[in-house]
Amino acid sequence: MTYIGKLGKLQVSEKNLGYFLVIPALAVVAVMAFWPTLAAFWMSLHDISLIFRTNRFIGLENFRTMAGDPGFRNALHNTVYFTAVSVALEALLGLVMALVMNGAFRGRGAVRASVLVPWAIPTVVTSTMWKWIFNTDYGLLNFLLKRFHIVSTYLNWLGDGKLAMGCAIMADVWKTTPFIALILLAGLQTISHDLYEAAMIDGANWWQRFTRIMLPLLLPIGLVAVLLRTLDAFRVFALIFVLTGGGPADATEVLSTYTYKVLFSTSNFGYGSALAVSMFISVAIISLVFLNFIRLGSRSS
Amino acid sequence: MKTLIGNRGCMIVRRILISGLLACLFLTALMVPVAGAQEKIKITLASMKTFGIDTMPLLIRRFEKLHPNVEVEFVEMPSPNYSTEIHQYLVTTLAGETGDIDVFTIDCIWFPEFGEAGWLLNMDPYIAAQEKANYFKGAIETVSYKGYQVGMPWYLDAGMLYYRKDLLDKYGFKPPKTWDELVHQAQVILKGEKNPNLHGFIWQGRQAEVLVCDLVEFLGSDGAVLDDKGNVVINNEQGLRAAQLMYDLIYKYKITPESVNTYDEEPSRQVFTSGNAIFLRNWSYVWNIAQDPKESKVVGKVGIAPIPAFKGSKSASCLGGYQFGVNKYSEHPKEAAELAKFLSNPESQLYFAQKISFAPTRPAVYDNAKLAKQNPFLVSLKDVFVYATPRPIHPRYPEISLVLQSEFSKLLTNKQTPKQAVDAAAEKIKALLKK
Repeated sequence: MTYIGKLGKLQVSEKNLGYFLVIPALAVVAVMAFWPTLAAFWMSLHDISLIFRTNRFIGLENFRTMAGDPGFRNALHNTVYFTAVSVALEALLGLVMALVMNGAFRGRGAVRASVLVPWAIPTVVTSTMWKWIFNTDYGLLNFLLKRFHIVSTYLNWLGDGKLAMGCAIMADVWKTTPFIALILLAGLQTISHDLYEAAMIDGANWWQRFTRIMLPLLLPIGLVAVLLRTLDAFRVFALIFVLTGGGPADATEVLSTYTYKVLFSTSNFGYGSALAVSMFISVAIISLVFLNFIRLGSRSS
Repeated sequence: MKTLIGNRGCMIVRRILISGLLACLFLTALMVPVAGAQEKIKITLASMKTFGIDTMPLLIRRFEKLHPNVEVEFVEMPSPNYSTEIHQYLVTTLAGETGDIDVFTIDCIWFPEFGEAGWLLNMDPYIAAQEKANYFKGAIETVSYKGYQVGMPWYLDAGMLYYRKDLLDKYGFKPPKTWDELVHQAQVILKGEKNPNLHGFIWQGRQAEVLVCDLVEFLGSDGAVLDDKGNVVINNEQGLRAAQLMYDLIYKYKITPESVNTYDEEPSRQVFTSGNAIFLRNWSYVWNIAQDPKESKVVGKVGIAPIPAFKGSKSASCLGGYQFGVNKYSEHPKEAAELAKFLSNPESQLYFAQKISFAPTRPAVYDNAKLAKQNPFLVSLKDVFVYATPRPIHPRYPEISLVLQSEFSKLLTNKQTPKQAVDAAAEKIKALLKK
């Protein structure tokens, strides 16, 4: 142990100093994150309604209600669908974009910067923008599709349950693919050129170099990117809230919008907290699964 | 300063400043008990932000002049398009059951909720018995809960039918009084105009609060979600008739486009003011926009009428607008009630009407000659407000609303039939009310 100084009569080791220095940060996290989370857990075990002035302990009753709540099941289904499809598309497109940006061409810097733009715009703004693009009567999308004779009548993008979910996914992909692309690009640049050259000498073709060298080496960082995006997509709120408000016919209702409605429209704090806790647990499980993958991935490489 | 008077001078100046400051502090400290001795009563008014000019401060000063013993503190809440935030602020403040705010502005749909929570002061002891007759009936119903008046009416908003005067004239039609007439007129005009961009009748079908407002109007004066005793009646003959009409407008008569299920107020307004709809159901704010050449292609071609009705039924117009409430835990209920009454009196209502076009809740204010000259549109609304109908009155209204939004959105997207929609809604609301 190396002693680096004295605090009064106390000998201060580097390790202890480190603990000492993170206390303020830990305190802030405890107050801002742990306390509300614990409060939400506690409230989820109660029947709390401001309106009917009830506040009683009911154990796991809220979670039992949740299991039989078609609104919750619908929201869970939509959330999983939204997350799976949008993250898969984003990973695929992100990889393609990263490969393109990794190539040497003129104006590469400008391209890299411009790719970031969709990701930099606040979600509420992009959502409003897409809401107008998808507008049935005045939307750009319908205008273009009709102009080029792809459709004969305007499609009701946000008014048709099946299309509306697709629209939400499309807007999400547009907005967050750049994020994955950038992370993957950073990963690509850490792969040494020597590896490719050695493989070429051994007679490996383009496809073999891609699948045997690039993808395995990209896997750990790719998983981190996908993990971050999955967590984000699972908690999607602003995009859906602005674009469709959960409609039409509950087709785009996701867990966070459903929780919001229960909590703030109906002041049903107990059940709303239970919904929030269920999201917390889902997100924790997703993280654990991914972290396991990432550990396996980094060990094998 | 240093170069002019030197270091010493600088210090003297500083000393003077500091001692002056101390003297000021001392004096203010003396003043406080003096003010207390006069026993000025302090009440707090939390009002939503009104668009355009600030109207509240002036009225507050006028009130303070009339009541020299009262001092009003003003808290400004967000504007009504942030009603969720206003709701949150009021709920969290009032749930504390302290007199932090005394008088507040409240959306008309929150009265049963706040009433049930026991946050609203019963106004009956503070108002003269005959006073209620000076307001629209719907306005008094809105601010009442369980037989008590728990608020003072402020301003009204109501759904109304906007129509294209030029198109109706061209085909020799009068503004429709019944739904059959509206469907017939729209079909004839659409056929005659041969304009593929023109829609017959636009309303708001987005899965949102406004869908419930439109539903109340389709239900008409003899249909309802809940009856007077609080029983669920949305699945009776009138409820089914309304659901069938909403469905038929889109899928049978084809005068309403399917995209109506994405429209809330503004997108639907845009279709109409771009000249692409014959009829539009919307709130009173559309009028000013429709007359603005920068925003509207239909300036001077627009008329308004009450919402049509079914044959044998009367028109119903969904009631909206903000009202005043008084906190039951206010430390000065008498003065607070006085302020709420003052803000709701004929002079104040006329002031709001003239300055920011808020539609008065007192019919008599509409008869003011000045107002008639300045804002004829507002005066013409009087007919609409006579038929103003509140949304379901129940402390669980927010939950009831979510059920209706979901089930009727399924109807409009053709996922269920009118019969299935009203049955599902009735069943779910019954389950809610049993809780």
